[in-house]
Amino acid sequence: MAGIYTWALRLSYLSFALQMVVIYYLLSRRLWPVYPGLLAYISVNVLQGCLLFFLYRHWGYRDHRTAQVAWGSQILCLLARAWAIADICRLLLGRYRGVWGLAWRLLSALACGLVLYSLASAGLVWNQAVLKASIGLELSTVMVLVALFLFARHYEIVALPEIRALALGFFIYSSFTVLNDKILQIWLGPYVPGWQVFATLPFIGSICLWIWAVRQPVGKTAPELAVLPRDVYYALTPEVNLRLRVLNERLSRLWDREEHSR
Amino acid sequence: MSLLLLLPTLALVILLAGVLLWSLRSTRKAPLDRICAVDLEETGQRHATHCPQIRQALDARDFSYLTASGGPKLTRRIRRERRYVVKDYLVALRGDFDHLLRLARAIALLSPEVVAVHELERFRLTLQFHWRCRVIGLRLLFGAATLPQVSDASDLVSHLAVRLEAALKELGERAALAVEMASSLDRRNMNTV
Repeated sequence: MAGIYTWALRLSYLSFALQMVVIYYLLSRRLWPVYPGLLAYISVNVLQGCLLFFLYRHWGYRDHRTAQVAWGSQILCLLARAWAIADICRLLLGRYRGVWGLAWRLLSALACGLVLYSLASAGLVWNQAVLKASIGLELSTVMVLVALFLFARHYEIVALPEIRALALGFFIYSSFTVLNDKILQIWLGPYVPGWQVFATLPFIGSICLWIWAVRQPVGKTAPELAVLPRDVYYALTPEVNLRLRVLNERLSRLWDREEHSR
Repeated sequence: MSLLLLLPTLALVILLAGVLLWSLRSTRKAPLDRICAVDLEETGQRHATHCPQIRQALDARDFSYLTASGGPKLTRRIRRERRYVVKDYLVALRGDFDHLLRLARAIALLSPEVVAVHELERFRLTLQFHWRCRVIGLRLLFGAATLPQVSDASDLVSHLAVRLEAALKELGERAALAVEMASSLDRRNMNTV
């Protein structure tokens, strides 16, 4: 058992060092205006790590106050992560004013709905509630990322490799956390040491992806899009939809006729 | 027992990972934001122009003549081959329609604002359209649809394709004009800098 704790501690040190590397690249390459959310998230994570390190030494690992501060500080981490993911959405779709206006409304509604559902379904028993809420919130992150890239694919928007790497980093971390928390929820006590190791390992993988992303050459600012006059959309889109509706109705009638003729 | 409790979550995560990887996969088409006036004008090339040949391929008199002169075996073979031709024709018409949808998406992408209701409705109708086309195509492939039904489908789609062609031409001209206008505005802005 002590061996696993040692491994967990070593992995935490490694993750701490790698996070410092991300911060270094973000600051030295002046990328913080591009990825402010990522910088905030990694910084909050590092500060949370330092705080917990101090509390573990001061109050001990099994003290209930330590657990409460640990889970409480997680709220800040989650908020910073939401900011980082919002940045990914903006970097991917922000150039397209109309589509971005629609996307942020849809994605915000989806995120709010999922977060509220996660919190509401978590219940009021402290131990279970925190774990259930954590699973729900991580699952919300995963779903928002999937929805974002489905949206981008629908409009054939190609993501830059660094944006993909950032998103994949968050996706990997959140999806592994969902599984890890679910296993903890099922087995509880005996799984705690393993849970710590398996919480840090995917996070290290994610940080490696983020390091790769922030080391990519900074591209020139994309040229402004030639935006169409507002009237074009309002004139053409209802027309296209109408024709598609007519076609569907006719295909449906044909289908019904085939069914009746049998 | 405990593992069974984990399975739904594991399945959900794997499913979401699959969807994400699929959506990250690059398409071979040129990005919509680089669509230009020439691309829009190309929408004038329609498969509906082959409609008379397709009708001829499905004409009962043609098959009667073939039976009389070449025998039923030859008729059966040709009938089967022509089914494939009609199926390909329907696929090509679907491609034409996809082009129209692509045009609509390009317009939305380059527009300063879009209406959620229009976009969601088009998305729903597109799914519906693809599903119905696929069902008809499968029926043709497996011979579940009879020749009059095939002819009916062909009539319907070719009739719509002709209407579509007219609409596309008009839309293409209008959209190309709009893109030209936007490009010239853009060029003017660049010159002033």
